[in-house]
Amino acid sequence: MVQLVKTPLGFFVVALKNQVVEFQETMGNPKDVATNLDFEYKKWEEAMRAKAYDSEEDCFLDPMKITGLIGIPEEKFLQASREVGLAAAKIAIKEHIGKDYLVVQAVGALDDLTKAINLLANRAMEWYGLHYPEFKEEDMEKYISGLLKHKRGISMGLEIDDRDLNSIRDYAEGITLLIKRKKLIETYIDKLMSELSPNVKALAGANLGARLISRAGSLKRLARLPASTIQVFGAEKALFKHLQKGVPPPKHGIIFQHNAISTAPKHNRGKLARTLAAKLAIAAKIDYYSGDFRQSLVDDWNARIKEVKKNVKN
Amino acid sequence: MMIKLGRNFATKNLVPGKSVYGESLAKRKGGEFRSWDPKRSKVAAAMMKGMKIPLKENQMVLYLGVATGTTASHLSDLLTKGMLFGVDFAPRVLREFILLSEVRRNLVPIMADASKPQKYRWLVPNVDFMFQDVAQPNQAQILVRNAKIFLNKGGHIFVAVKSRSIDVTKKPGDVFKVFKKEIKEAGFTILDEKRLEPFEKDHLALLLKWK
Repeated sequence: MVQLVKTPLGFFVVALKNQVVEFQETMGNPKDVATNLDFEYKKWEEAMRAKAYDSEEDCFLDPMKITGLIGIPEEKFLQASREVGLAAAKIAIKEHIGKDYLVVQAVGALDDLTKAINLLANRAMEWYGLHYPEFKEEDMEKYISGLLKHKRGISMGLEIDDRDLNSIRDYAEGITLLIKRKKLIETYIDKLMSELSPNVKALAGANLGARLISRAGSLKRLARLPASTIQVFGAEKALFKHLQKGVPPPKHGIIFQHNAISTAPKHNRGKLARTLAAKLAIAAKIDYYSGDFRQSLVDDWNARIKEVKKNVKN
Repeated sequence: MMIKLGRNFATKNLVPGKSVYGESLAKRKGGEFRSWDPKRSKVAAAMMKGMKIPLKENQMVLYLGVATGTTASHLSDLLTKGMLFGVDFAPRVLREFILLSEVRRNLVPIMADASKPQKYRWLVPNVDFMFQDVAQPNQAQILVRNAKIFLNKGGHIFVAVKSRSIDVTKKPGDVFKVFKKEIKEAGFTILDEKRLEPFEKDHLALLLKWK
């Protein structure tokens, strides 16, 4: 019975009573060592398969003690451990982060822009309203573009000179830039979602789909979540109230933004939310693990919408 | 070396001139010291509540849930002849800890799931002290599994237990009771325990000794 021991300094084959049978030193700089380690380990495992040995899963020998057996001082082990560990951690970070993290940040940027535009546009309304209170527009974006184009008619507002007016217009011009930026980011998210997550996009749309990825943290995590969690994403407050106080559970979180759910009659929303969440859970799994588009998922979902529509409240 | 700086504890800066997370630096007899913020670090919070941490300068330390390394940076100050291995599986926070490890010679970053110690055993020797701040429902299990593999006989453990991470629906006191029972059955002695109010809500800090 022997054990295969991986250490930052090399591979050891150790027999009972801590006898080193074989030792192969790892070569190269820490980065190379960290990169090749798993591959080398597999090669060793392969070679060892013939002999009876304990694999990584159940070998818990102290690597510093093992390197000490062949006279390597503790300081040398610790130095190697730190250097190879640092290199391995950097590699792990690099491997972990995929393009779905761009979606998360883009959604964040979109939300920040929306907030900023609302805030700034409100100020513009108050400001320009002093001069021309008769000019009204509910939609903020329209108000801003109107402000820049319109000529003032008869008004009860304050008379101002060009300098004052230009100040307001400069400010509004800045807001239009943000509005443009927001539209660009929306298109960008749309494109990213087509590439990264076509199935989720087909079911939920680019915006909601991106939001779901953002909520989960990454596509990988979304793919591993149960449908029930996806269903109540964004309704955490209601969910915990349900768990703690026993009030009825929430039917939907952010998936309520989906047209089919938000426009459905109240008594059907729960059913639709459940189906959509289940389909989204499948879609995320396909997107993450295989990446090809499956029309059948969307067809199933549309069929279910039709079916639920028949369900009229008695 | 550790001193008191006003109300807070402070550790002698291993990398003079550099502040890690915005903590204040102060020159005193013996060098430059970094104030250890009890609102940012549960170890500092426990010490403010009177817990003594028997960490020695030459010890090996395993830190589960090291995050960005706020606490670890102070432990690094104290471990002038030791080494700290910091495990975390969240890349966003480990990124910061890697940068910290590059400037502090006694830190080793490990991106791994603390519930799978076999994944990082190859890097980590037996240790004398473990810290755990993982906020996972099965954190007792994780603690025991790691202690069995890494912790020397007579070694110490500092654990921060966040009741809301274990079970939001139960009262903190009940969650802590279950946790302590589990820990005792696994063979730990509880040397000291402190609730971390007002620094943290619904947190319990435990100092344990292994067999």
